[in-house]
Amino acid sequence: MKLRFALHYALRSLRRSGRHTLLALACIAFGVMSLVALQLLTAMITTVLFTDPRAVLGGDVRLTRAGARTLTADDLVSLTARQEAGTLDGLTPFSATYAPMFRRAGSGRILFANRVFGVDPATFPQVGAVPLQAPPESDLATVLAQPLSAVVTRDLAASAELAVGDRIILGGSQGRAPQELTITGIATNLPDQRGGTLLYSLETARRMAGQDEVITSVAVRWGAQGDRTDELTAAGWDVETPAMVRAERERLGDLFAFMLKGAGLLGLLVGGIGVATTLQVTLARRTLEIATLKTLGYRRRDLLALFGIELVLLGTSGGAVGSVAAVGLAFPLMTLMQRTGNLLLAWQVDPAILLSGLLVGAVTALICGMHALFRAGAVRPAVLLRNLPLPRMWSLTLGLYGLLGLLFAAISSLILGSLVYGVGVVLFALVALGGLGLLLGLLCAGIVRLRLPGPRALTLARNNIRRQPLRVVMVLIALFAGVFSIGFTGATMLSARNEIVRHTGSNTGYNLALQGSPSDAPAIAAQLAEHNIADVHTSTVLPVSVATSDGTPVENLTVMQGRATNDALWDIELVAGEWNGAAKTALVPAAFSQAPWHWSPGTAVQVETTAGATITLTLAGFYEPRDIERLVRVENSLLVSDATLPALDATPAVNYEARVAPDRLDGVTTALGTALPQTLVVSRADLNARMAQAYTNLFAFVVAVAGLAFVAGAVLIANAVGLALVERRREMGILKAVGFSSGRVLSVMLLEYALLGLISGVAGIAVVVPAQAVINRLQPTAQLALAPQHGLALVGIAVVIALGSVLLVAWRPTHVYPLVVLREE
Amino acid sequence: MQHTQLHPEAHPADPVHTVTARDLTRRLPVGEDTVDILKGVSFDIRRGEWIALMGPSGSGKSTLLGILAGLDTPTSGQILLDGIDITRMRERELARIRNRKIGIVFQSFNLIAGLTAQENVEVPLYAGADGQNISERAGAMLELVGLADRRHHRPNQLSGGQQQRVAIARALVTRPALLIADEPTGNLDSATSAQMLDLFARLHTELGVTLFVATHDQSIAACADRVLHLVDGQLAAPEEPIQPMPNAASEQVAALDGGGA
Repeated sequence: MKLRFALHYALRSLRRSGRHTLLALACIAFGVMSLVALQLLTAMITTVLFTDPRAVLGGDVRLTRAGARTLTADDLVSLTARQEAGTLDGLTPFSATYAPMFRRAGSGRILFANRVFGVDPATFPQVGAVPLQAPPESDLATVLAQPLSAVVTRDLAASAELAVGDRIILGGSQGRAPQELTITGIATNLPDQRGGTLLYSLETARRMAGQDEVITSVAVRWGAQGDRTDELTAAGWDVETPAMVRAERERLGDLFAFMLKGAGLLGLLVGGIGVATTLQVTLARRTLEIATLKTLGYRRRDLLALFGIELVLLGTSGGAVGSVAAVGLAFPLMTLMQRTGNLLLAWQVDPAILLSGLLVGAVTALICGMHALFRAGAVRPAVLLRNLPLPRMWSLTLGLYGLLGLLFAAISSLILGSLVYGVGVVLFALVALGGLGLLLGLLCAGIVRLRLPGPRALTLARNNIRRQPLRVVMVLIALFAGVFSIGFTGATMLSARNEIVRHTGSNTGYNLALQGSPSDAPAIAAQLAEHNIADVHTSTVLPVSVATSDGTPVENLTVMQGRATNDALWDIELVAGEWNGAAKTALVPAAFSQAPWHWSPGTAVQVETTAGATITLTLAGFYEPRDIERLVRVENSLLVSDATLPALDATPAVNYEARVAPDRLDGVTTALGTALPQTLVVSRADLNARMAQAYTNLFAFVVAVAGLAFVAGAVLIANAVGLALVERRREMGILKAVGFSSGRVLSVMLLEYALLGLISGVAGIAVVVPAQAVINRLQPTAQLALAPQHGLALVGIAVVIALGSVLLVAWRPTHVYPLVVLREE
Repeated sequence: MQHTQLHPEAHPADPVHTVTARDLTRRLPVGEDTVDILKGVSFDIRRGEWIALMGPSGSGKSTLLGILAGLDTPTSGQILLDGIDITRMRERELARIRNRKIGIVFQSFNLIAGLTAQENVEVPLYAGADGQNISERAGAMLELVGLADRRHHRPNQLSGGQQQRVAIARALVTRPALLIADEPTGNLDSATSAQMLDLFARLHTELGVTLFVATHDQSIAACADRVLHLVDGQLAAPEEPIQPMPNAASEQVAALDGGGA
């Protein structure tokens, strides 16, 4: 058979098939779009994750001290000595702080960054570069030359709407007053390609911390003697090597790749199901054409070639559309991933991935259309002479589906990069679908056999359901999958949100916190009074280090809080000892009365400030925090009276905790933030909003993925109805000839699928409940629960999808004139 | 009769008969029963002969037509087409026979909707072994049936009669040994049916086409060289109809046959 004729024939047929071609094309495009978009995203992520590990470390290795947050001066001296000895070549120190809060000067809105790095602009970075998108033609050393200047990564600049020249108030570490910084640069990228980052100089870091010891790690390059990891480890250093980074990132990359590609495959599967069922309808409508070709001498292989070319054209076109659409989808996905993963992703479109979309489309169309193709080849030409049913081809059908399974396993293995995963996915799907189909089929069969009261149309609908078991089971599976996926994931996400709300608290309690320097105190007090905020508790806070009288460091006490005597106990319960607010006495958490400390009232402790001032305090008693909704922790604090602090000659930060009516909270927060430019103002609403946003993003993503099952369900139903309409066309003509109206014929069909939607919806919800019970039993804190109204809503959605699909497909065909149909016979 | 124009190169195995059918039976399951559709049908068709097959509905005409056209296989019996036994052929061999030896014209034309008249006529040639000059051969057939000026029209742009002529051109383009027509005028009005009859007569007379036409149309039967009457799965003796079981339908058929051929 000439190729040109076959191509011409295929193009004509595709054009003639009209909306069925468009539907099949859309299904393939959807599947390819899902897969290609997520492959593009995976490629962008792996480019970032598999960047040079040395760039991540900042050198050949990164050094920290186990058990110590900062490096001492002696630590730095020892490293310098190694550098002079030639063991090391190049040091770059880091001062890292994580999850800092900040706000734009003059704004009340709290913003969050991923991390802050204090660096030495003269030596950072040793590996990689920090290109700046603003100011143009500048470099990091220049823009960080001035103290209290900061560079932000581009993603942070975009989300916080920051530009060069803007001022921000950055929260200090606990016990330090916030500092105003000036944005002097916006970085396009960092060597480790992580976003959400502020960079400032080490000098700024020292000012922020109020102490000289701020360096948390040092990246080093090996000298001429090469790798000295063992030597450094023996000297008590924790050495992070490129191999460790690589291993961690490979693990992360594999996880990303599996999840993203798995989701893409799911989309392809949904698309494939749509294609398979659409092609069944299309080829069923062309029975006479196929029979005609056979009478003209076309053999089965000629027909397979003819329609196979049609499939390849369809699949390639769908793949092309899907690949183009994938580029559009990948961009917002990249933005979302950038935001949630703090990755500085570089937009890249791999032409090979796009081209592979065409191949995937063609192969998917061929694989998914194979059954329809072979059934078409089995059409008996004698159907042109008399009305013969299509022959039953169970062995061919089983064989074909087995082959389809193998082919899909091959594709999955290729995409997931693992034969085990690929085969596992298919086997799991087969077993799950098979078992599910059996259960749902039996359930449906049992229900339709019940003699339930109802209109006669219901009886007809039940009879019709019994006549087409395989198609019914497929529809039930699709709708069940949709209901279960959304029901389970939705309930899980809602329960997670409840947990988040429980832990973060509502907007009640002590929902407003302010942190400033002592010089801000009068202005803060005035503002609080102006806004009629009377329920306020004040403390002065100082970061300290504590040791027992024999010099043993106490790591869990890091802050000294000074309180007015008459307000000292507002948030704590004294469980032992007494408190009279005497100078140089302190309260500590009750845990210190237990092992290993066994402190008691009268125990002396040594306290040293970051400036080096020391004081000896006598313990007056032990406290437990009250169960109060608040933003500030107290469990790591020594509580002293205001009278004790002057002895330390230090400049503490001033903390205010206030209770504001929830309906006023947003307004008050904004007003205070605007009126107090040097003060950090944080409200519960800020924190809740951040959690809620993260939750909302995740919820939307999860439900969208679960919703794919509903998409598959809708397509399946539409095609099942389409097939039924082809096969029952004569029956409808007869029904109308004996007095059924178009509306009656349609209503029977609507009842059929409403029943199926109801059965699958209820079954889906009925499985969600025990599934959640199992999870709750395994993980008691999970507390998963699907609210009855949500369950009902999901069942309703299943029914609506079923009815909508039927109406869309069956409206015109059920209004056909009976004579037109019967005359065709 | 002139045989050479359509088969100049033919070296038939049987120089006399295009078709030889012996004791054809066809049994089909209908529900839980088995029905004998054909009960030992035997006949010959000579080269260049025009046979009309008549009979009431349910007589087995379609079944016989299907077997003759290689679309169906008899339960027993033998059928030779151009000297080739097609009785027990497998589907792919039958497909080749249908392409090269048989042309079929249906009551409802069965043209392929997306293709033009020219392309419809070309379709059988693309399945054949001889792929030479496909366009010219198809064009010549369209000219033969008087539709050269409609070659680029699609079926929905042609009248019923024109569509049937395209179907005839398609059936003849492979130079078949036998042209089978199943109620070719069934969907046409009387004027168009008369035109179709003229065409068949011309094809038969001028080109020596061997025709086998199943029809209820007396005017077609009148033009045929011979009429076969099929009643209840059996052929009546030549030119003598078998008396059917007395019922109203049979009497109406007898009246329609009007004393028959």
